[in-house]
Amino acid sequence: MSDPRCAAVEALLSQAGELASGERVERFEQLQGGWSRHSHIAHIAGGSEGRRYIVRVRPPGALLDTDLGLEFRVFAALEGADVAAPRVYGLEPLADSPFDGPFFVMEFLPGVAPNMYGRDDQAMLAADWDGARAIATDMVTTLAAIHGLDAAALPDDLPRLSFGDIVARWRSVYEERRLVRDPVIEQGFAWLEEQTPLDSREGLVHGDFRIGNTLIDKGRLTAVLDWELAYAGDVRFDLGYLALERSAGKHLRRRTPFMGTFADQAWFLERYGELTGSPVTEEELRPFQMLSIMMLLATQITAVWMYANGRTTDFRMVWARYSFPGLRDDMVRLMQW
Amino acid sequence: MWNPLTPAEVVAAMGGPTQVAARSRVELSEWERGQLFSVYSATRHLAAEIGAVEPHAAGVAAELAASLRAAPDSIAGLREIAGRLEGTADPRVIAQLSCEALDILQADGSPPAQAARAALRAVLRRAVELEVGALADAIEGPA
Repeated sequence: MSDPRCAAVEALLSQAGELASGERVERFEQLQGGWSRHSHIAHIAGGSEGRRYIVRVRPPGALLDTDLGLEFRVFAALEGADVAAPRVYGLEPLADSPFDGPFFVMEFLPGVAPNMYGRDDQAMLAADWDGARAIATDMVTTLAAIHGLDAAALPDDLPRLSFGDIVARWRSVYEERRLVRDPVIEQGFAWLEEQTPLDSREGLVHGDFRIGNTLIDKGRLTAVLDWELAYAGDVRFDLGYLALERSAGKHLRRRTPFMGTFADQAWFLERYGELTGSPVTEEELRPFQMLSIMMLLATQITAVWMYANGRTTDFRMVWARYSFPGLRDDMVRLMQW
Repeated sequence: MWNPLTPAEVVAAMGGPTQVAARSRVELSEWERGQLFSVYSATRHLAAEIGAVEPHAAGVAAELAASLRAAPDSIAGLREIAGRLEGTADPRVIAQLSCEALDILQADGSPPAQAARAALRAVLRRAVELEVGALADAIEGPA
C-alpha cells in the first residue's frame, strides 16, 4: 500500500513547480529530536540523484502551542533577505493530514546542527574562534541582519510582543502548569517586573537563536532554522538568550568560556553594535537573560505537566525536571542574591 | 531540590520505556533508544538527588525557619511558617512555605521585611548551589 504522505508532499511540490516529470517522493526518514516540531527528510526518486526536501510537522500534543502557518510565512518572508534560511514550497494547514498534523515542505540545505552540549562540537566551535572565526562572524552578521529586516516584509500576523507581554505569557504558563510552587521562579518574576527596560529596540526577534538551531557546513553557517517562536519586539531578547550560559552548553556547570559556545561575548557585542549601529552592553542584557530563562522554564514546566497529566508517555518530559537546578542557579546569580 | 515530580514518581516513569525495550523482539527504533538514554541519564541524576541532595532538605528547612524567627515579631505569619518548616524535610513543602513567607515579606515592604527577605533569599541561594553542585559533581565530575 502506498504511503499517503508521499502523495501529500508531491502535491505541494508539484504546485510549487519543484517536481520534474517522473519525479516522486520515494520515502521518508524522520530526524532525531524536536519537541514541538517533527522533521522528516523526503527522498525524491525518478530524477537527479539524491534530491531531498525537509517536511516540518506540528505533531499533536506539541510542547509549545505555536503556529506552524506563521512559521511558514516567516520562512517565506526571509527569501531574498540577507539571512541564510531554507526556501519553503508549500503549506498544508490542516491537522487531519497524513503526518497527523499541519506541515510544510522546505528546502534541504547542507550542514549539521551543532550540539552545544557535546564536547566534540564545543571543541570544533572553539577551534573556529581560535582560527578563522568564520562561524562566529556568520552568527553575528546573521543576527544583525535578522534584527535589521524591513518590518513591511514580515508577515502581517506576526505577533507584536512587548517585554511585559512576554513576562505575562510565561508567568501564565507557570501559574497554570506548575506542579509545585518555586520560590526562585516567583522571585524571578518579581525581579523582572522591576527590571522592565525603559526603551525598546524594535525588530524581528528569532526567539530561539542559538548555535543548535543553525546548520553548519564546511565551517560556515548555511541556515538559521526553527522560527516557531519568532515575533516582533525588542531584539535584545535574542542577545540575552545567546548570553545565557545554557546557550553555551551549560546543563549544571558552565562548559565553555564562549557566548553561545562560539565567540567571546565582548567581541560579539562589539561587532553587533558596529553592524547595527546600536551598541549593546552586557548590563542591559540581564533582564533579557532572565526573560529567556523564564521561556526555557515554561517549556520544561509544560513538559513535566504534560507527562503528569497523561498527555504524553515521552520520558524526556520527565527528564525535563533536571533542567530546573541549572536554571535556578543562573537566576540567583542574575538577581545577585 | 523542589523539582516537579517526586523521586518516586520519576522511578515509576522509568518503567514505561524499560518495559517496551524488555518486551521488544526486534531492534529498537531510534525513538525507543532515545527514551532509554533519557532513562539512563535520569538514573544518574536521581542517584545524586537521593544520595546527596535530599539528605540536606531538613537542614535547609531549619535554616529557613531560623531566618524567619530572626525577623521582627511585628511581621505577622512568619512564626507560624517557621514552625511548619521545622516539622518538614519534604522539599516541595519547603518550597511552598518559602513562597508563602516571601509573599508576606513582599507585601509588608518595610525595611525589616526587606532585610528578612534578603536573609531568606540567602538561604535559598545556598540550597540552589548545594543542589546544582551535588548533581554536577555526580554527572559532570568535580569542578
